[in-house]
Amino acid sequence: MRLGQVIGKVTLGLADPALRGARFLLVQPLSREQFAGAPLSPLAKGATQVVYDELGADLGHLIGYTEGAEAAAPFATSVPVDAYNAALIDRINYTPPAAA
Amino acid sequence: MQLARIDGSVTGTACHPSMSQGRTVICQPLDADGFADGPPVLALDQLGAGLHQRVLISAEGSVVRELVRDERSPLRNFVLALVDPTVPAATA
Repeated sequence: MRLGQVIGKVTLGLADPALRGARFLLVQPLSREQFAGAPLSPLAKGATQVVYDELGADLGHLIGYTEGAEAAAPFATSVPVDAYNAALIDRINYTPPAAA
Repeated sequence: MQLARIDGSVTGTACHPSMSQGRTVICQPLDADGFADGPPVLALDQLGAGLHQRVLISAEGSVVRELVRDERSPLRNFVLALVDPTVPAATA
């Protein structure tokens, strides 16, 4: 699971029927400096992800999202989703060893 | 499995039910020499790994779904083992 910040929302016009009623977030993964508390803008490098959301994350929230096949696990039917918002993160306690 | 180091933890109010069975820790994947390799990932920890402790984490969801006994769990990283600090090969 990776940590990211919600920077936008996506609404679908025409989509697979399995995605009816789905909410999608635009999420930018955090860099290691941002884990340690660096300001969240400018955004870190890395591809912005579109993440399926059931927890109701809003703009600016930090979320833990999973990618790949695991993202399709929480659904009863087979849903074409490969990024899933698994957690809303309130606090990050990040203290890497100095020598890392 | 992947060698990783515990660099912290995260807390949150809302999460997938399968995540409330343990602590969510920040794991830094390590290369063979024990140095950081790639971005940190979040993993579910039930073994109580300490800060900066080296651990083995799973890299595949299927094993996690069995361990948390929830076939709908979206998790992929799970702390499977705590690595003995006296392993000579790693330098970190």
